[in-house]
Amino acid sequence: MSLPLIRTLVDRLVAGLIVLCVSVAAVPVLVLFLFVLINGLPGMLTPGFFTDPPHPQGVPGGGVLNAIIGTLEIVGIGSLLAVPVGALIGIFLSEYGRNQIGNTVRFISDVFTGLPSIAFGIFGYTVVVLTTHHFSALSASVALAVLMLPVILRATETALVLVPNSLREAGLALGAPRWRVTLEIVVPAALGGIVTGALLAMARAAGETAPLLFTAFGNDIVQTNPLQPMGALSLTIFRNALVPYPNLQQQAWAAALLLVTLVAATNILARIYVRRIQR
Amino acid sequence: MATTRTLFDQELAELKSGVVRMGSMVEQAIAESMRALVDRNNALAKEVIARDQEVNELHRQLRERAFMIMATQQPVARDLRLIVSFQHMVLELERMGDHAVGIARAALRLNDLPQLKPYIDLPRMAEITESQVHEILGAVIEADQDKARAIAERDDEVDTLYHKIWDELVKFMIQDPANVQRAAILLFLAKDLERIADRVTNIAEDVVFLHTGRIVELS
Amino acid sequence: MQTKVAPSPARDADAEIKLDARQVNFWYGDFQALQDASLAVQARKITALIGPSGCGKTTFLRIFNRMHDLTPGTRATGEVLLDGHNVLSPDTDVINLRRQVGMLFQRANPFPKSIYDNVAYGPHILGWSKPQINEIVEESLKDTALWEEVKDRLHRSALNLSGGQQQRLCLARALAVKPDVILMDEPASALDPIATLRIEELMQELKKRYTIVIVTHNMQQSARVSDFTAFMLMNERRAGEVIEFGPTDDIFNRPKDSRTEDYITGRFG
Repeated sequence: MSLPLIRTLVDRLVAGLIVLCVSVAAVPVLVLFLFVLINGLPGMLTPGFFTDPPHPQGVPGGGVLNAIIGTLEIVGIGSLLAVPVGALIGIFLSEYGRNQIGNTVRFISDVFTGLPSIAFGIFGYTVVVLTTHHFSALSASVALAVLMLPVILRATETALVLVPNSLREAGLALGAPRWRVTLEIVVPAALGGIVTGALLAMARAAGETAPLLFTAFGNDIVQTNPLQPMGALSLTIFRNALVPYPNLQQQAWAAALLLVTLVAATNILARIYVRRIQR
Repeated sequence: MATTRTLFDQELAELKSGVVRMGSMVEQAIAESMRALVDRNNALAKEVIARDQEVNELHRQLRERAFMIMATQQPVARDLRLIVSFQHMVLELERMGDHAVGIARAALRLNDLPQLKPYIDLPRMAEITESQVHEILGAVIEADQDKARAIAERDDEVDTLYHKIWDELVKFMIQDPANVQRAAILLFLAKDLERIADRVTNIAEDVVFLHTGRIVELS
Repeated sequence: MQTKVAPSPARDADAEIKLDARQVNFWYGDFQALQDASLAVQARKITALIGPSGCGKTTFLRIFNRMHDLTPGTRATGEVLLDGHNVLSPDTDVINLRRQVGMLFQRANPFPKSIYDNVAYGPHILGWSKPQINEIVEESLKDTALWEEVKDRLHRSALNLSGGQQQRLCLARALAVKPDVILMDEPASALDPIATLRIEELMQELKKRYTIVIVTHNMQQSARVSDFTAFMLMNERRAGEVIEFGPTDDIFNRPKDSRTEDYITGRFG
């Protein structure tokens, strides 16, 4: 066999191997999604899924309105806490943190990223639930906020570091003080990356279950008071998966589908947004 | 010294050797045209006139080459001074060649007529002029501005002789109208020699410019 | 003949010296980048700094508006007098200095904002009113020959302009704060020849009102554009020195130092 021919064959072989590996990696994800889709769609299409709170166990029908509102509110409040703080720390790290303090903060943040999410739940429990003697959405928001913080912080810092130094120099050379250059030039230039980081952190928080178990605790009633226990999609899935009532199990599947779709959509939108601003 | 512009240096060297070659040709033309007069040799005179074509052609080539170098190599400082002074020298040499042709033509006309008088001062003037031309070419080759200045100062000798010849020829013309034709031709011949010597001074000024970047009037 | 002493800059008695650098030494940590560098920049003239890569010309330029402060570990000694006040002294108001001494960089660096917002940023920092800002934006864009090209799209992104236009925009941005001196660090090196010539043309116009110092590695540009030229070179210890300084006509016709002549004739073998 001639050398060029061997080379072509090896080329094709390796290409084939790569496709195989990609498939092996992608297939479980696709299968999972299909599974959730197939099992969740009927529940989603059931009237009342989006509009009704859950019915008592044993009573047919009902929905997950409480959980939808709960997830949105808990993640919302958590974001309100985490995003400004995380962004500010990220700004600090990027612009003023090329030193020992900065390195320490970064190190702690990286460690936090690896902590099991239930630890954040314990934190929320200890700090809020025990002091207020209440389960509450707020305690869950606090737990999720601490969970989101390192992600937002790192994403912000990365986005800011990617802003070319020439922009900072341009601003400073005009006679602008450092803080104005940071706030009026660098941060707006990095906004895309910061927003993306925040969105991804929020999407992750929305899917968390363990931190909510003994903070938000869950609530079958539709209510919006953050100082009271509140339901969430992840809690609904968790709890309903273990009960023997088919309608509730179906709602669990549907809630799973809803959650997966929400998270996937957020991720995709974030990436589209990034690509748009890069143009 | 190995430099970053070997090709350019080569072009400059070729330009210089072209200038020197042209100078030698002109030097030869002057000597031969004077000999054509003194020896009453018409064939030699005609040769000088014919060979001026080569001088003109060389002038054209060198001017073009200098211009191309300026257009393509963006010379500055000493390189630019070099090229500009060479261009000027080449022009002066071409005119000197024309003056030699003038002398040769004068010789042709005089050789058909009886000699007016023994040629004494004219050959003396020519000798000095020829030596000037030779010396200035040396100064160009060695890029020696001191030598150039010294040569320019000798121009006075040529001028003195020129005035002497003038006065003598005018006397001849007053003496006898039959002398006028020959004397007149000789006057113009002397003028040609004087102009050649002047142009040597111009070339000396070019050598000084090459060094100092300043245009000075010598003598 | 080579001289070891830093040459005294050509001073003409009636010349107004705008920026006077005296015996400036500069270190990046332990590494000395500039040695006894001096330069007397005349007001409303264009002074060029030329020299091979690494000779310290950009380092020298950036000292004039204290941009070296942005790099940690740098140290400068000597004096740089702007209108008589030493900009290197610790009690200099650096913010105001940078307004007074503007800078144009090698690669155009417009902010990712609209054209208007770019030029308006400086005045905005200074707290000018909206009508004042509108006026100065128009004036600055006219001064850089951009107004006609962009007046109908002031609120579109500056990043959509061509490279040459962006650089002119950066110049307009610098002019909007009404500086006295403009420092230019190889402003045309990333531009095509026509854009380069337009910048050079602008410089000739601008020098009527502003003092300009330009670093360039393009010698023909330096010869075309500048009134005075300083030639810099790295010495054996790799510190930059000013070898020769004088009127551009002299430097490019009859440089005094053989090293200068070797550099400008390209004979750096």
